[in-house]
Amino acid sequence: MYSKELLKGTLKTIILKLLSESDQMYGYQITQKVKEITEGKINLTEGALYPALHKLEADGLLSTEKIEVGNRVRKYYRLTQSGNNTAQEKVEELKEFMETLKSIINISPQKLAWSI
Amino acid sequence: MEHLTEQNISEITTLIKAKGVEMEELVHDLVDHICCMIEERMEQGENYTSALDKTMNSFGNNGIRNIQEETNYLLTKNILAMRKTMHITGITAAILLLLGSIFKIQHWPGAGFIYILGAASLCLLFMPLFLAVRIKEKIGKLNVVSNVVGTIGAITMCFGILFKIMYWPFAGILMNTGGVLLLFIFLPLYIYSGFKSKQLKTSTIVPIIVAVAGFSLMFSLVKLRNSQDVTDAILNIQYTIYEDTESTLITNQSILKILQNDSITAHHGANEIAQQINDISEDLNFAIAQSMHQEIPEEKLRETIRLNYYSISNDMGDLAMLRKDERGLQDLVDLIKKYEGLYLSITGVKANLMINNANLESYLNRTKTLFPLGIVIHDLSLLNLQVQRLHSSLLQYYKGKVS
Repeated sequence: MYSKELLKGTLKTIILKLLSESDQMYGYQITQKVKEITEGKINLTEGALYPALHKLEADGLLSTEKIEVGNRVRKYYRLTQSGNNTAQEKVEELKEFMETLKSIINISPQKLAWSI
Repeated sequence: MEHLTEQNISEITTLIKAKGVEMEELVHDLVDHICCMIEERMEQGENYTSALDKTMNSFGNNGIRNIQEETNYLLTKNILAMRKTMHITGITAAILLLLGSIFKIQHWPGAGFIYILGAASLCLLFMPLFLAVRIKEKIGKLNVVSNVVGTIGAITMCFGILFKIMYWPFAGILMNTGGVLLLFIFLPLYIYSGFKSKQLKTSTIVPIIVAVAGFSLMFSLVKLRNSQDVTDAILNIQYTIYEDTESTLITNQSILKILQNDSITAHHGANEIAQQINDISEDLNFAIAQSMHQEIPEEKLRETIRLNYYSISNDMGDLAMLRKDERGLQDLVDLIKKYEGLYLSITGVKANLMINNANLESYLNRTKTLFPLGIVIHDLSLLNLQVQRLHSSLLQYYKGKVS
């Protein structure tokens, strides 16, 4: 399990990426999907997920649809057109960021000493 | 897969709301989410009650409530700064307006300037920011329309009141426009949207009552004039002055005719001055009435000025308009003095015409030129009557000499 701090900056990107790969998803499904893909290493809590979903909806990146399931209403989230574009941008940005991080993390102690 | 019953779901919904979640959309999300968690536990063999307990406990004491708080924070983060500015300008405006009224009551200098600053920060900063925050908060076309109309109405109204306090022109038009916008467009829209969202509770009804009551009180205050009896009495005096002047002028005309028949010309100089005094005072009165009611066409104004109901107007005007070089108040005063001198030299009797001399002097010399000009009309017409009466006696004097 990773720390909350690490997850914070990438939460939106994770949600957008997941939604870009399926037509529409509901909240619980997203948490389960993340758990499944990461083999339980990332636990997307409700306290992080729903505020982020509502914010993305308010920003116009997501739209919702309410469907009656069983005896209750289930809210499905899907990407809007601009959500689609943002999802691609965000994923690219994160990839680049991970490359940059690697270059920092991989610096050997000697190299670091020399550069200083 | 086993589905939860309707009763289970209404129980879960109640539990979530009891934790303090009010946002409708978030309630939908959480009900479904928690149901899913319970169903998962039940699939593993647990019964409903134990699954519900365990699931709810997994959120901790404030866990569910915190979700709403976090959502609210994320949604309003952007407008927090705007709201802060709004509060600061609002408080500044309120303090300035309060200060302005204290200065005004105490007759300290600078009251007007403080009022202008206060009204400007209220109308040009606070209210537009308030509108922007409202629009960002509330989604829905009707609400946006009613908020825009409401803000424009309030700004117009507010400027109208400022203009009224500062005795600037168009105060009435601004206040009436603002009032119409607020009362007849904003308020119905507000009530309608209240009905539509089924939230016509105390929170909707109370502002409506306050608004309607406040408006009625304010309008009665602004439109307040002297009581009808006092008004009628003053108008009667004014009308008597007018009638008296007219009949004196007619009398003078008939004496003049007699003198003319007897080929007497010695009175001509005095006659000309009396005529000029009559003309100038009438012109000045007309100019004052016209400045107070630009919207009335000239011909109609000439008719109504005979009744001189402008003399009871509380409207402020600029005394500077009386201080013109030609045929102004100064000329009038000079002519009256000249007439008095002439009268003394002819009859040997000293006439004390200018009983309201002090008033005329102040109209000519006071530095604060803002003044209820209606009162000037009263002074001028009374003075003219006195001159024409005096002239009547002068003509009688000549006539007596003839016969």
